[in-house]
Amino acid sequence: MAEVARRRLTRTAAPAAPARRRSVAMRLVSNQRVVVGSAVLLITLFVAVFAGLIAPYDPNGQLLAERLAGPSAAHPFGEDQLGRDVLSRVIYGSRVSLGVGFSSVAITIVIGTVIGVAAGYFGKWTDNILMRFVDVFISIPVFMLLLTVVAIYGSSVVLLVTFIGISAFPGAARIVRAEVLSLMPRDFVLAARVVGASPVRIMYLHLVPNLLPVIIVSATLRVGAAILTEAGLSYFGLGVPPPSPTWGGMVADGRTFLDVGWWISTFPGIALLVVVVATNLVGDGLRDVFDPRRSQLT
Amino acid sequence: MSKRDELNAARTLTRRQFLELSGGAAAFAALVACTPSTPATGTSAPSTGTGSSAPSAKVGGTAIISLGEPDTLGPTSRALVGAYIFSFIANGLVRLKYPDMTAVADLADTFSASSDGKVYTFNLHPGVKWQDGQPFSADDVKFTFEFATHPNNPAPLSIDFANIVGAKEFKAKTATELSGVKASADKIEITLIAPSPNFLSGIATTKILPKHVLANVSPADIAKDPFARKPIYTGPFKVDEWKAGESVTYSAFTDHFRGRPNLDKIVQRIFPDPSTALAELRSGGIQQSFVTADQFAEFQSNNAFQTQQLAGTTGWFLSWDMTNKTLPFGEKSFRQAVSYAIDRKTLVATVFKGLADENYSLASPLSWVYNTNVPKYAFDQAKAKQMLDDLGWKPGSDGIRVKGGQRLEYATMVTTTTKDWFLAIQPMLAAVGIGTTKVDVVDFPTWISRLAVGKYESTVNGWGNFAIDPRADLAAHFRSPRGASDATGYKNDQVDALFAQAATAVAQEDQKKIYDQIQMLAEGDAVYAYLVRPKVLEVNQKQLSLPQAKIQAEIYDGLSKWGVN
Amino acid sequence: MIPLVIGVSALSYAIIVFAPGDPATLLVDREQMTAETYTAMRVELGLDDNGAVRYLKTMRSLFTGELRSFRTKQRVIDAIGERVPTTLTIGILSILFGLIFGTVIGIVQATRPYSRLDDLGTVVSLTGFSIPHFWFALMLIMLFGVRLHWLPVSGIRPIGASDYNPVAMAPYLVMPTVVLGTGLLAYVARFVRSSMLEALNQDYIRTARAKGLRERIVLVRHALRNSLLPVITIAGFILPLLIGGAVIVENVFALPGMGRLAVDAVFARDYPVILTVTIFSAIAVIVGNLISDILYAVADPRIRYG
Repeated sequence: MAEVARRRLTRTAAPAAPARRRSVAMRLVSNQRVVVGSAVLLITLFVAVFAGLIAPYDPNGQLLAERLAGPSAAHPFGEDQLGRDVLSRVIYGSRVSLGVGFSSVAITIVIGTVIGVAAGYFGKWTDNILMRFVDVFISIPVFMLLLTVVAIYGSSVVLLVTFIGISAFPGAARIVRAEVLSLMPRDFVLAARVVGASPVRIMYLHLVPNLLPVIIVSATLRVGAAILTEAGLSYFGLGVPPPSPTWGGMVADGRTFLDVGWWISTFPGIALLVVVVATNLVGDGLRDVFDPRRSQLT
Repeated sequence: MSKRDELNAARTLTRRQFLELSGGAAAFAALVACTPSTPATGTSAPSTGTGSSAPSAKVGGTAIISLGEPDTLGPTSRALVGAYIFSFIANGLVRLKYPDMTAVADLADTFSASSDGKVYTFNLHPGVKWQDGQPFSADDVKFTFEFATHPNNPAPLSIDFANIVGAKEFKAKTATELSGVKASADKIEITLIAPSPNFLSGIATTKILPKHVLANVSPADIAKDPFARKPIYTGPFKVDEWKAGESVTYSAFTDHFRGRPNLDKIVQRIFPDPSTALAELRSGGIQQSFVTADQFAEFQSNNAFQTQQLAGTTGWFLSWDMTNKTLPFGEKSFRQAVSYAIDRKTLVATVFKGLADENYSLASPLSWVYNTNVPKYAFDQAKAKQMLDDLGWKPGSDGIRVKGGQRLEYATMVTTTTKDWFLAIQPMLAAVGIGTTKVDVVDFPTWISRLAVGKYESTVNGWGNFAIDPRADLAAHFRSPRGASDATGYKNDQVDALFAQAATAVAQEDQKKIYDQIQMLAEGDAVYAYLVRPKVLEVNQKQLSLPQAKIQAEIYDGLSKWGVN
Repeated sequence: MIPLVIGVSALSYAIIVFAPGDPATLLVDREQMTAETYTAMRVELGLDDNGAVRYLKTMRSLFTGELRSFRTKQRVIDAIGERVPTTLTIGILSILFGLIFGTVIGIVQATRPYSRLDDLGTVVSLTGFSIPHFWFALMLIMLFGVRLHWLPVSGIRPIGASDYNPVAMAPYLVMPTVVLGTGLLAYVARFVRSSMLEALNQDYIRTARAKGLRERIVLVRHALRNSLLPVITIAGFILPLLIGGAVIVENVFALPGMGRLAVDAVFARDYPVILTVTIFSAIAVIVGNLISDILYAVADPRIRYG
């Protein structure tokens, strides 16, 4: 108990000493949520990478004569309104959905980190201006603006990833900034400044490595949100364009066939659900592991 | 969705409205006439339940229907939905009879043209009342025409109005009244500058406005006036209340000059998502709607519902920007080849579950203008390949044809409505060596703004045939110049000459001969590769009785004949 | 707050103004469009003034209430006014739903940490958080509206009901509230659970237990009060999520709210409406945050001391 308390009070901010790293790893492995969630994600990743080998049919191979065929031995997930094998589409869909999820989050994290670090490090005017900008962004109803932007500028995968990624940066920026603010008074930062290290060096060599836990948690939690956002855009016909199947897009397209072909929406819907739940589990678990005390609101 | 454009004050339904119809948001697509027509063959659409014509239904009752939200209920309405609504709340001098689209009596009991075709006389029905009880008179008609041609009206004069004597002067403020329209007792006399065979159908969409209500409203401000939300017209149903985004309620106008409608009330519920509308239809929240081919079977076999298969209103086709420099879109044989490559029969049988007809023309086979002898480039894969070979495009290693280093592949622009249809066609194109670089799914405004020469490569386009005169349908696509709305760049001098000729020929038989020729040439040029005309599938609860109809517009046009059993 | 609003308006305006495509072409039928008409339309819509002038003009007409929809020519203020009651109602109900049920689930989980019940609660609330709104909504409609006929499928009130009749509206509000509130529910449950767990480990709880107080009093009077504080702040900043999420829910359930207005405007390129709705929503969010800040300060005596 005392040991834990002392650790909490005198936590050093130097890059994690080996002893501490091991215990983090152990804590990760023993956290149930992280384990279960990661297992699911790894399986999904595997499916996405080896989709070509796993999928029984060409995901875009149409067989009009068999459209809306129900689940059968040859097609366990049935066929959709163009006679395409739903199972293969779900498998390939993992690629696009995960791809969109991860890439847009990467953009979010990069932008959020840059802004958050700059705001936290430079403080005063920089902080003020940057955070006002972030506040403006947070106040805007994001999905509405996202819809506007995609409707106007187009919905290619690249544009989608970019827009979805940008739309989520405020949350990341705030979290990063808060963490940076808590790191700034630490000894190692003061030391680096005294030594005369350049701000860029301090920010990216010293601060960022210590931001990693926070960034990872934030990123993991946002992957699910990004996938769901693409699904929401698909509902309005503005998701990833054909022929690439995405789970969200399949659920959206399949909704007009709920009576005659429930399998078109249901299987991708379940896949989407499972993966998003998994990312949330992992994110939760990681947060528990890295700092059980912190009660973050974002 | 879907998806709503604005019209000039004359509310001439134009190309814009049909483009809206074709490319409209999915919501509109399911609810409004997005599905094409059936060919006018002998087989009349079977319909379960109803007898020959609507049995004499009881008077009274309410019907709850699903329809898209209008943009305004005043004269500046441009949304296609407006056309349906106006057919039961307002009247013009004449109206178009469906499906052959000839002008018949409305507020004018009889009408005739002088022998030189320049003077039209309309004898108005006596004793007509406005929905607020005030008496109607010929002055209201003159008022309406002056409203449309008013100098304060921001819309320009439409072709039909510009042809009225004195209109240009009135618009330019050099005259204080519209001299070409004379109102007297129960008669209206309109004098034209030049005879125009299209004049009657041109004014059919001009609904007469109440002078006593709008005399002091400037035409520039009419869209902002409360009249636009709660208007007064002469039609069988009167607008009660318009709850934005939710519903529009109409009540019966018992003093309507052709007799009161059967129903007491109509409630039009507005649904942005067609899935929701379908759920409401199944749960009883609405009593009548239109459904897709996949959804139809369920209702056909359900005893609680009656169904009707109506002739499709819209014909769908592939169109190209013929001015494209690198791809052979300007070559007639390329377009013919594409037409030969499309297996319409399979398309109809699978994607449309047989509830569509193969489309081979712009004009609807139901209209009087249609020429049954037009060349039809029906499915013949071998021929398609041959024609492409002859053009010099040889299959490359992956099957896609190449010529001089250029691959025969291009992007096709679609909306959510047409996306799946194009995806079904894509393999047919690939089978003859035509590739697709991108399936560009865009929303309606983007689609409309890109549907112009130089801004797209190919698209799935549709044309609704029953909103304007069928001759105007042909002119909109085949006559040049088409100005800013030109989407193909098609030009045939012979065809243009024929159109010019048709403008002067007054007799219907002469007209028909000329338009027959126009179709032979234009369809022979394979301007478009036609696809299908999906039927419009109507479903209603058994307790509602609807008159038999041939096309969707008739359903709304005949709203006064609906009844509750 | 004012600079924030200006910032919001400028940002939204910038995004829209650089859009390709031309609202004037959407509004005037190209066939009817002569050069004069097109120019006149552009002038009427104010599209030809340069960016800054147009921005100022638009803002001025927005705040004087004279800004009109491109499409229906209705004053945007009026259009929004018609929709606000619906959006507010659904929004507040969803927040209450999420807060109440989330708290309940969170407490239950905290009292039996790491048990099956706890895991079940986690999975259930995470599922609500991870499902696409439109799919969830459609599933509910199919089940409760079409199959069981327990609830009306869509809309906000029965036909012919007067404008704002909470009793008549109640059945219509159930499904939208559940869909919108479930995301918040998961959030709150997660939060309450960890707050409570932490609170329950504190010394003062052990003291209370040592004193022999009944478990329920321990829970409610001591642990809960302290863990609820941060939950109140969530209410304020959840508002943006609700307004964004409402777009889909309002579409599926055909609710005449602001989200619907915004979507219709986007698909008609009705820029004045898009702009105004964005600004209004932003103002709502800012106000919501202010309120939650105030509530937090009021509820937590520690804060008053700086």
